[in-house]
Amino acid sequence: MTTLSRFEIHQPASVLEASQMLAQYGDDAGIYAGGTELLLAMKHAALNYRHLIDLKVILGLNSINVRNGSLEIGATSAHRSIERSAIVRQNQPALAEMESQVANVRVRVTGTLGGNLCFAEPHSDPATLLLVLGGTVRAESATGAREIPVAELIAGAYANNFLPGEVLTKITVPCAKPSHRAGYMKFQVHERPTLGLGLWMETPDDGRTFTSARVAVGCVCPFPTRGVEAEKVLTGSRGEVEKRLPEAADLIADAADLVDDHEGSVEYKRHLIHIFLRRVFRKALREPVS
Amino acid sequence: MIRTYTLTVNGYDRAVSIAPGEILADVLRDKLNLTGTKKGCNLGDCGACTVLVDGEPMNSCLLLASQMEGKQITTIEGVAHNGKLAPIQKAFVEEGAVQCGYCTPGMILSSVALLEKNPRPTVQEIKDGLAGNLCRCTGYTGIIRAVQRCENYRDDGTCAKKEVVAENSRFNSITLSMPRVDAADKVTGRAQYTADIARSNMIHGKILGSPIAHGRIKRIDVSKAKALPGVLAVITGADVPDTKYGVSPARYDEYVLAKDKVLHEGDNVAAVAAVDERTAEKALGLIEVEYEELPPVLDAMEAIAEGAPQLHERYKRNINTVVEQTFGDLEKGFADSDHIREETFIGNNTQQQPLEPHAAMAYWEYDGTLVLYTSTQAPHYVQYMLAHVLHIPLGKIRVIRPAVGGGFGCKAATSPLDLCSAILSRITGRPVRMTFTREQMMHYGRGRHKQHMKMKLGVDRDGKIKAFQSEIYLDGGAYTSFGVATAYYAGSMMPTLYHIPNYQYHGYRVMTNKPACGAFRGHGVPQPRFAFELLFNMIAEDLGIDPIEIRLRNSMTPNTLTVNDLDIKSCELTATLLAAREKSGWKEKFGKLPKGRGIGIGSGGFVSGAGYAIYRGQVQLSHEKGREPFVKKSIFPHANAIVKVNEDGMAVIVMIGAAEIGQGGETVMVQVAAEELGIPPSRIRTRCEDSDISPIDLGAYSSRVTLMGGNAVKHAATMVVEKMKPYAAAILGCSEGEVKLLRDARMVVAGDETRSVPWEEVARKYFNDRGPLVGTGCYKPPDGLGGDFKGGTVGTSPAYSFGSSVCEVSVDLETGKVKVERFTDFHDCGTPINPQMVHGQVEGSMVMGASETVMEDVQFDKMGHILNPNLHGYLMMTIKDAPEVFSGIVDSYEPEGPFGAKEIGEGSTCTVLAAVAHAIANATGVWIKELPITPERIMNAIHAKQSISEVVSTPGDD
Ligand SMILES: Cc1cc2nc3c(=O)[nH]c(=O)nc-3n(C[C@H](O)[C@H](O)[C@H](O)COP(=O)(O)OP(=O)(O)OC[C@H]3O[C@@H](n4cnc5c(N)ncnc54)[C@H](O)[C@@H]3O)c2cc1C
Ligand code: FES
Ligand code: FES
Repeated sequence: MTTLSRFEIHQPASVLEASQMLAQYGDDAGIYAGGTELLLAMKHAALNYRHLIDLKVILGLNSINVRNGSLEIGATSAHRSIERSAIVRQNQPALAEMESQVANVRVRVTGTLGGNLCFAEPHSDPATLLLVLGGTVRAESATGAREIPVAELIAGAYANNFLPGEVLTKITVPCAKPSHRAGYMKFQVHERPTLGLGLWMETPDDGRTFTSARVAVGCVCPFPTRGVEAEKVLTGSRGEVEKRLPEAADLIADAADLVDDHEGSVEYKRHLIHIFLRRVFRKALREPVS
Repeated sequence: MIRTYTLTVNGYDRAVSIAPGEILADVLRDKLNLTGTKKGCNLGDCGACTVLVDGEPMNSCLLLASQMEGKQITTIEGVAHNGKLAPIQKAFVEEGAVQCGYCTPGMILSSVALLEKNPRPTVQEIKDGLAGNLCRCTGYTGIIRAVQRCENYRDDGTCAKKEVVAENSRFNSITLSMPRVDAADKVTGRAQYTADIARSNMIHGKILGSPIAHGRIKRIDVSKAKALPGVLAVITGADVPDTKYGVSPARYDEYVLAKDKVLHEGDNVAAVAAVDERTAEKALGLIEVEYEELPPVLDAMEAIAEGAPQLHERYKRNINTVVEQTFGDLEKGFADSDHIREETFIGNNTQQQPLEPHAAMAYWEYDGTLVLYTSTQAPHYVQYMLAHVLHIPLGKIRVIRPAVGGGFGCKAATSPLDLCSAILSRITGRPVRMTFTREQMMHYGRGRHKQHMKMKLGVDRDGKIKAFQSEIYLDGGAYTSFGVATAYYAGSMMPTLYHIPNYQYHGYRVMTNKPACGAFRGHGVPQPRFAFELLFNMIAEDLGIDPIEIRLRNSMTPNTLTVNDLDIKSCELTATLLAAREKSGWKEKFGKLPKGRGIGIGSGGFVSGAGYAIYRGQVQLSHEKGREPFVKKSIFPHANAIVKVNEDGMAVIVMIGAAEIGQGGETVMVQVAAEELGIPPSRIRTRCEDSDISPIDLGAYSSRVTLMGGNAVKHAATMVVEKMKPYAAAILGCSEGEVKLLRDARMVVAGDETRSVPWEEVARKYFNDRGPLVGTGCYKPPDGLGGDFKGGTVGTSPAYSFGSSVCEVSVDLETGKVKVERFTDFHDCGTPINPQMVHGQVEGSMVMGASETVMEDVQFDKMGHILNPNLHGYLMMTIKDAPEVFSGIVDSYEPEGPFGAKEIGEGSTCTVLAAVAHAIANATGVWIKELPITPERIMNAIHAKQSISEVVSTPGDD
């Protein structure tokens, strides 16, 4: 399709009003943030909303702050503003860097982090990193608000776990601490990534030992997936951890529901996980990756 | 609800009524008439629709117009001020960053946004800033150069640009890197492409494509669609002529709309005309079609098997073209060989993907003349085909070719849009405009045939070729289109580069339930050339001969008749090899690079125009008379030009039907005319777009425009000068024979240049006396081209181009990802009329060819549905992948060409695939013989080799 079917567009003054609208129109209504996914889906008639609720007009919903040791990123913050934000760069450089690699300038200027997470397109970057950084999102509705870990936000490919009427209002990400190491890398030949790998580790002694770790993989599977078993083998001395990276890579691949598609076979994707786990480990330690 | 919104566009408030759901790109184009904003994909993938919103670049195809109130929108029309180009626009014009111009508005706006924040960006910063703005023509090289040098074009007097002068001092306007004549229009958004043109009372047409790849149409019900308010016409196979059409006259096998069977996904089933695009699309959804599904056959090698599903009754075992040619004594050739190697290679189905989707707009005059605006490479063939299908004389058809946003072969045939818009317009009595979506373009296809190539090459111990045997199955898709010629080209061009004394070619073009393949840049040749060159490199390795050296030992020499009777005249292949070897530092690099880095060589070349026209016979309605018996000469001139001098002598108009499709054909025509007339190119304009004005030229295919069109223009200009001479003699008081034309718009007495008269004065005198000063010229290829065997005509040409490319890559040996780092290319294109445009063609070819080698492929599922029918699934190189390109031109002069010129656009593609593949082999230690060479294929090959060497290194260990 080249044209969109007709709908009404609403400009709520507040989140409350937006969620009331969502509740009122039910399945006929959708949130419009940057529109970079939404309008595509509507052009393909994959989504057919009769009411769009423009979230960007709500003042303050694109603010970026630090509170209680966490970054609070308003849902309508564009990728570009997160990438450029001095606050983000300072407090969670891995996030700023990941954002600077999303899509291209024009999409980053328009598309929002909130929209990216809500849409749950399998080939996206932020959720994979947020999983390991311990990100949560805030869902608000007319009846209340709740915090949802990013892990529970995504229900599957193109599916999220919001309840009817809920609006994502902000993304909270713990600030990086000196004892933290984190990194995100992707493998990309297509417009969107083929593989994304996020790693976070805690090291009390500047990288000699690791007391805990979180690792997640995305793009090779229908939704970003934590390698919970892999995390268990990623603790110990650096030497031990490094030796166990292949084992951990296999555990990550086992945890993810790898898919055979035009971007590669399951075997190739497993191979990529091996390569990129080693690279992202070095990258998190701020060492040359290869 | 439609409401009036105030949009601030280019600094002015504009009140527009907008319905929610209207996209900003459409509102700018259709309601504010700002058609400089282009739509290449409509899905956020190409960046052609880039506008600035509060200074930030955004894809306007992904913005709702209704949400733009209060924001400052800048379109390309807002970049120049008071008719003065902005520095970045000047830079694009002067640095050769513009070809077809379709990506240009988006590129410029992205550049503006980048330079605003960062006036001196590094190459990497430019790549980040322009990432996702796709360009299919320039290879990004010129664009990066323009952004980097933008500073030089500021008006503060720091401009470091030097005046362009002819590189060869024998000439004034030839070998002159002047900016393209259409560049300023293209950088300002003024250039009009077909979809930008609206006529009053115009309506919109759409085509319904088949959802299945193979089936019989059992029932079509259009009543609901017809009943939809706003729908003016709905047509199906029953409403279109019974005449089949196509390209090769022996194989017309397409109906305008399917009459009985559909043969591939997207095959044309019905068409609708309605008051607007939305209504037309809605109507498509209301057409009910019942299909009896038939099993599809998707692989050429399966399609030829007994019992495979048949597409067309007339092509038994689905074989649509058979070529079986043997030259010399093959057996003896192999018997005389010291080393023989046989390998099988597989190509890929790639598509041209010009940035501008196909478009057409048709209306009928009251006198019965059909007027068709169309984005085409070959206006005359469209005219011919419309006459054929609609049964009206050619003279009653006027074809107008507006600016064309690239073609590369997919716009060389008459499209269903051309035919349907004409038919819908005849029914409704209103102008009808139609465009393809990117998905429809991919269903229409006409891309490169995937070729299955078995090749056997025999050489003596010095590496001299003794015999070559090639067996190729070409996967043609569902219709013939250009395919007969493709099957011949895949064989006939092989003996043009090297002396091959004994040669056999067997080619079989096979029908499958996929979009028809056609002529794609290098028509049929790039894949067999890739295979041959790679095989040649393997043999060189087997024999321990340097791959450039083995080429030099076999290199074609001038004035040679090849074993298959092609007449090579000028040929500097050897010079291109030597120059590429020298410039690339080959000797220091080949075999000496660290692991993961590689260097490779490929040579190639192409015809400068096909020796024969596509249809046999005169210019007439094809039904009037059957096909004429073949004679070895052209029946009518392939290129025809009129050169008309303005009444005041200050301007000259060149008229020729040659299609400017981005390659720069019109600029070449201007330069040729200027040189021959002895006046500066700035005094010359072209009128090439309208068949009512410009005489027939067969079109922009087979790289024919420079040589053939150039010759026609040159002859027409000569006639003008000849007509002027008696008047100059009278003014100068000398004899006609003593009049000499200088190149600075003066005519003088030979031997005494102080006695001179301005050119325009002579022209005025002529007009005062005789009326219009007009010259005409034409060009026919030489008679007698080609051998006396079946298919002996395909591959014939007045002249051949040659070239060699050295490619350097780095390969991530852990992931298989290839970075194409650098090309060093030298070409023999005869005299370069415009060196900058020659380099532009080479730069574009290198990137397109590299992209085809490592990433491009149309992919199908088991039922024949395209899995990647868009520009995010179908990968092409972006500016981030763009390699450095050095393009050099070797000295050469082609006697048959205008001022010694021949082609560059297609030959430059033919070198690339093998050069890249060889470099990858050199970097990885594995030969990959299947395209595209994806990271996964590389990893698989590396792993396979490792496991073999493990097995080999541990004998007896089980
Ligand atoms: C060319 C291109 C390339 C891309 N490449 C990448 C890439 O490399 N990596 C990557 O990660 N992504 C990529 N993307 C995706 C891009 O990041 C997303 O398009 C963008 O972030 C989505 O944000 P949006 O604001 O445009 O969402 P929208 O399109 O406005 O919304 C998306 C969906 O989320 C819902 N929604 C939005 N906001 C909320 C909210 N606050 N509460 C509840 N529901 C909401 C909408 O209803 C809709 O269903 C690419 C996109 C394009 C077009
Ligand atoms: S038309 Fe908007 S990105 Fe291609
Ligand atoms: S000039 Fe860039 S697409 Fe043609």
